[in-house]
Amino acid sequence: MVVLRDVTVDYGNGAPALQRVNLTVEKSEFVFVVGPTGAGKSTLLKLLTREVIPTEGQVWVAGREVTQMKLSQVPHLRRLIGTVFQDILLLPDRTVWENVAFALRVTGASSATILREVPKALEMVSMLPKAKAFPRELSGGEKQKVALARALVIRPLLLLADEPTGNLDPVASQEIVELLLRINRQGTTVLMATHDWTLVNAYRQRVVELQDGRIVRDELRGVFRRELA
Amino acid sequence: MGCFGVSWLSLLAFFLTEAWINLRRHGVATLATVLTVALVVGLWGAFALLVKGAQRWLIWEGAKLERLCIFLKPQADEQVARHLQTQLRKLPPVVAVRFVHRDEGLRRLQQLFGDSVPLKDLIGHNPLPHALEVTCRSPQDVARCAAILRKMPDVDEVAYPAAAVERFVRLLQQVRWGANGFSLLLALVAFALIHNAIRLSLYGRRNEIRIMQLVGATVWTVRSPFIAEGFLYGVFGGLMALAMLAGLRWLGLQTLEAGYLRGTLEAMAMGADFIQQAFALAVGLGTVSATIAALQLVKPQ
Repeated sequence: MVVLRDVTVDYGNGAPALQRVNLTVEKSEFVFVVGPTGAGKSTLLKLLTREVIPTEGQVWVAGREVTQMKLSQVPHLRRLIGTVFQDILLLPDRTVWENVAFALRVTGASSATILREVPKALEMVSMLPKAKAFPRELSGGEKQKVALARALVIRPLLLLADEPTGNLDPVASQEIVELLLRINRQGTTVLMATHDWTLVNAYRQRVVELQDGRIVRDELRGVFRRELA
Repeated sequence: MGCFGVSWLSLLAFFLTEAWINLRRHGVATLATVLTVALVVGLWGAFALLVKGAQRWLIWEGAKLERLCIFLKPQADEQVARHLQTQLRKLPPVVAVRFVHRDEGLRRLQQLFGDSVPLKDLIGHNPLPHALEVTCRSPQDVARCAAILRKMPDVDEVAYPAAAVERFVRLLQQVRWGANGFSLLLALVAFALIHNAIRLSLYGRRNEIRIMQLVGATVWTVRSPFIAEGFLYGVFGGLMALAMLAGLRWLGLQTLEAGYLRGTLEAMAMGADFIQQAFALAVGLGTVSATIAALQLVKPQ
């Protein structure tokens, strides 16, 4: 699903953000990308959506070579990828339903598709009862669930979660990770960047650890040592 | 998994809905922009109607600036005059040609001097040649038409109110140039305002744009709501301008009594052609300005 080969990203402001990174993630895998702030976690995820272009190396997503991809092809790549961030980015003047439907509307999905897919996505994150609520009426955890529903509604092959629990309390964080795991069990590949060691250690999934832009550890059923967080 | 089919109708509805949300979100900026578009189109329309009114007024006044009179050579008989009449009707700027017999000419001259001076008795015979009255398509065509006619072998003299025609044409051109210049200046102001309104919308919608880009919207999908916004500025500005012009005309007709001014105002009717042109100008101004702004401000990412 994801292949990075000798990837270096240099923003030109000091040390490279990523240095000669090699990584392969198979279809339906769940991977925690861990490491301290500035280790290169977000850069690694942005490579996959082509928000960042590597200085060297190659990136493949779902069989597509991302680095050489024409700009006109990038939207088609992104329709295969769902994204969730720490800053939740919900539209404050739209309801939960409208926020989720927005992702479909911008890609020109028909009304019938929207009516069919939005309830499914909201149901998956248990937010259907609050479909008419506005973001200001929701807790942090609920907002993140809506953001997750928005990422899921396009039925992505790959889900990227960049510190999705960064602003949430432990209970809400646990709920979000359990949701991501449930989504993963349905076949979606999930890459979650985090520095929350308690979550990583609680769920024991594959762990890829970054330090100073290099992969220093890649373990199946790994842990995240507290002192590195 | 991955993507759904594209419904262009849904996408169009999306663009217009998002544009409408933007217009409502920045109410004051929207109002200022729509008013400026209305002012540009309103001024353009007002000058166009004024020119139309002025032309009609001059015609009503009897100046008949689009007419000229051809006096034939004395030896040209009625057959020659009739033949020339047929030839002249074929010229593109000519609308109508009327034959004036030398006797009719004398009768008209007699009417001019009145019965106190019996011209025929004084002269003994009719010295006038046959004549042709030519009506051109517009006063602007008269000079060109006169130049063609003067070259014809049977034509002795071509008479028309040359100075008045030239003055009128010059005045119309000056009014048109002035109006066009002023409209262009206002159009630039409207462009700057629309550009600024789009910039404001972009800033207000930066989260939407980020989400759109991340879920796979093409760069034109991101730009289109802003272009639709410009289109709506044009639609509302155009409607406002037409309403203002119609309102002012109605007010004038209610206030003015019968006379030259009222006659001119009555001639300034807003026909279907005028409405179409004004509306096209407004929508074009809004859409083109917004497209340029969107192209400059929204880049592929």
